[in-house]
Amino acid sequence: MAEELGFLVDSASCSGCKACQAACKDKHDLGPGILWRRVYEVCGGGWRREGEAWVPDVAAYNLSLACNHCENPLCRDACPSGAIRKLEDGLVLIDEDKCLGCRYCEWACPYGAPQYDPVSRVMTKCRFCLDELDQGLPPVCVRACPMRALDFGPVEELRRRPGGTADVHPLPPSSVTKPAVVIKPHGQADRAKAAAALVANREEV
Amino acid sequence: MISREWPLVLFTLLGQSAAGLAFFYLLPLYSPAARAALPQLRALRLGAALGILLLAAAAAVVSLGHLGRMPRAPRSLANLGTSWLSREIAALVLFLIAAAALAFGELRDVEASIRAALAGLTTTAGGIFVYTMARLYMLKTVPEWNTAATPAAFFSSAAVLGAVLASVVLRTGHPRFRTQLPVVALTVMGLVYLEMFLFTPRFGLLARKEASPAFKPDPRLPSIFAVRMLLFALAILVWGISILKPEAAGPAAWAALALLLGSEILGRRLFYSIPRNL
Repeated sequence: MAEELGFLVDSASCSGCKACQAACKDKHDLGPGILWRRVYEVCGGGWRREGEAWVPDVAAYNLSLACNHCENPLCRDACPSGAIRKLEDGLVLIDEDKCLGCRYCEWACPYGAPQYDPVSRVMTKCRFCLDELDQGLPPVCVRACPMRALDFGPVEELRRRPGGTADVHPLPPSSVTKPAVVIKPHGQADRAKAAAALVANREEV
Repeated sequence: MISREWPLVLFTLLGQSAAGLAFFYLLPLYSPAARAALPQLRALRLGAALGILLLAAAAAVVSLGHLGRMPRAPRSLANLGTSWLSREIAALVLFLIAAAALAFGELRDVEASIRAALAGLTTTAGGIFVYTMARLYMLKTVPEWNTAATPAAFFSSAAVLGAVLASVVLRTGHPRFRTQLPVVALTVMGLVYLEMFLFTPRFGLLARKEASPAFKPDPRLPSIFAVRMLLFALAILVWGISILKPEAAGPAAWAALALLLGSEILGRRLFYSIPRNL
């Protein structure tokens, strides 16, 4: 059986430049409002009193996410037309010729990966740049990152790298879908959770 | 409300009304009391079957508005193994077939036992349809939907819409046909009000209040919940007046139904405002 592929996201290194997002949008010619890769700006906290002084107590970092090609893809189970399938190499793909455009997969996916295309009127999402992989190249988002904050490879190999997890605020517990993603959390991730940090660029993603 | 949810609001309201009507309309019409009280019973039963069929068919048509690719709608039955949406559509098809068979049976005046069995099948199929509709929303990844409050809310809506609609139709069209239905409807309204007060996601006294960590709560929602409760309370009040003052029964009953529908639409607004993913 082929090794399952996944992404690695180094949230500590991500500067939030959104080059990955733009490269993906450009390569796949995605229309307005469709982002197969999204950079979430997580922000929380405020001011904390220390003796007589007020000091900033802010937690902020970026999280670049695409489809996580989950081991247990709830989008596939929810799809009424059987348009979503999981390949042997772990990739979860939408057959756009079978899709009804009912958007139920959009609800079922906790990461917001499947996105509706109002032009083709079907659901679309990250395909892991299969055509690039066939040419021996990394996905365009990985290639575009100036900080080398994105990587890809067999997910088991990525999981063996130190400091990785898939449970980072504000993502849902990884036990639900078992995502094929490894995130190196930002140093402020725990503080962001404690401060109930929100996605600050909601209008953008 | 996000405009794309409108077909779903109408679909759920029409579908639940049809299922509720099957329960509260067919039962009295197939009771021994109805046979004694109504010489025109057959026409009434045919009207009931056609009414249920019409509402369910309207729900089916409206649901197509939610699809990007309507011609591919038959494919929605392709994943009955794991998809509750597929199962919901299958249940709707069964409900439509049962209601159509009942209407046909009444039209052709087939044997009474067969018509009674078809009425039972229609009512059961309506119940299954509402159950699958509720299960569809019980997604593991949406904690506020994934509770028993979702089927409770859907069955409550079906019960209250069905009881009030059945009662309004009977009181308006056949005022001499006296049943306990208006009082039953009042009781159902009271119970549903209590259910809303206790279990409405996020606002109910005993409801799960765990919101998605990534979203700032919409500050308008508490006011919408308050208006929903107020409209529903007014519907109960007006319905009560319609029972106590028979001379005003018709207009008051219709007014109560309108208030109830307004409250239910606001209820859907609250329901669909729950964030579903990151």
